Amino acid sequence: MNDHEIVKDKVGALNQVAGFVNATERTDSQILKRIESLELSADAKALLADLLKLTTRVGDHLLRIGRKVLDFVLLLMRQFPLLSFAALVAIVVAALLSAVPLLGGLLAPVLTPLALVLGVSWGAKLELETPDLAERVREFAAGFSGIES
Amino acid sequence: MYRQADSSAFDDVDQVVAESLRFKAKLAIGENAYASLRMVNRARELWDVVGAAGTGAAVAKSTLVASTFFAPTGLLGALGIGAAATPIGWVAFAALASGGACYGVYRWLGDSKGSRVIEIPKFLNTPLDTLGLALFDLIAPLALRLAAVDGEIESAERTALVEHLVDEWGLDQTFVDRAIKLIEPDLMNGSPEEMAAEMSAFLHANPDCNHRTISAELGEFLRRMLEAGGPMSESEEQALAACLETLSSKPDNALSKAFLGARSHLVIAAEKVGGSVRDAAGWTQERLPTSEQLKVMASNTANQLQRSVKEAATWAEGRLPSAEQVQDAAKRSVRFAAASIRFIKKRVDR
Repeated sequence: MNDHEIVKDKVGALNQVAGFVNATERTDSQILKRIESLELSADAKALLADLLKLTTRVGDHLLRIGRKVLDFVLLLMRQFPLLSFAALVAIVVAALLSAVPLLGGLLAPVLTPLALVLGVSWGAKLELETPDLAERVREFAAGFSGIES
Repeated sequence: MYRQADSSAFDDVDQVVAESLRFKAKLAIGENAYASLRMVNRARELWDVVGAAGTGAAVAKSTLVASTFFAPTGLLGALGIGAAATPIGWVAFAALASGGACYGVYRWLGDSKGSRVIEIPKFLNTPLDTLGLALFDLIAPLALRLAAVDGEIESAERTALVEHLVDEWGLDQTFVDRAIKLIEPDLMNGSPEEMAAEMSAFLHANPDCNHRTISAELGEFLRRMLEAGGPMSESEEQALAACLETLSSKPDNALSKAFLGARSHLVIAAEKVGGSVRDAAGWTQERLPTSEQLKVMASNTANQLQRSVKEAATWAEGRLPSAEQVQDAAKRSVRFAAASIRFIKKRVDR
């Protein structure tokens, strides 16, 4: 594989990641409305709104990482109504940080205070009782892996 | 029969709060909605009070004060209480007086802030529609019950209430119209004072509500509403005065907790009998405030239903002065809550 092909390959992978990260089921305002209807403290909601705005630039692409994470967590909430919002956030973030350690630095300013107000620990390995949930979370985290390539 | 009507009453309603900014402004809670900011403000206040006390003490023990007031040739020396330095008691008194004055100014400014400045928090601790629903369920029955004191609710009074809820609180017009029709038949189940006590307990306990400002503004509205129906009768004046006093007073802690607990307990137990809770179980899993409520909702067999209702009644009886009064107040909301859970669920699931 020559240099030109390597560059082309990387650009293709990046486009794929950008497509995955920036495609969400809900718009920003729909996510904000949903956050407002959660049974969480005002402090936690404010931090989630900060997470929603979190972005990073990779190449020519602006990746809306925070929106993607929240959109996915809200989707899981609908599909696994027995799990609390805090537990789902913990599961998703733990999987994300272990799959793409680079994201840890980007998300740290919001995640550290969020962990405090939600009472969760990102580092903890959570045992997932539902194989379906585990699989979905793994797939989701894998979608971000192109960021590090 | 009425259950069928309940379930369809909100079919064309998809929100409780239409204007969220107006609603949040009306709560007059400002930055105090955030526990973190409350903590910072308290710490700042304490720091300032301690600083003011220190300054007061420093001034009191300064040479200028000692030589002016306490020197043998000074002002107090003439009365025979002169000394070379300011006595320690006077220094301590000055510190206390300065600190107290600073604290008093903070309290005074804090109390008047809600009526002078509108601060709107971006987020509240209670889900928006849930809080809108709870406040409607407290304001509307109280207003209509007061309006009914003279025998009938006049249409001008009803219109004033709808305008207040829609224009000032930002509630959805369709929701308000439907919900008022739903609660009117059960109005006479409680006295205006009981309703005011219930509202006072709620405002005091909820972290998103400024009890003092909301009750003061509500008092002004209730008077305007009664006056809209013509000159106020003596019975209306008396009922309004009693309500305003109850509304603005700080509720007894144990009683208010028991009252609110009994209310929600009974609402849920009664809902369960209606069967609508099963539909809402998934939705309520993470939204209902207490595990006690979740436990009640978890079972759905006939025996468990009966036991829950019995438990709720016993629970209320053991804690309150009159179980009947509490049950009556709680029952007022039962039909309303059953129907409203359905449409909030519809909205939240989007």
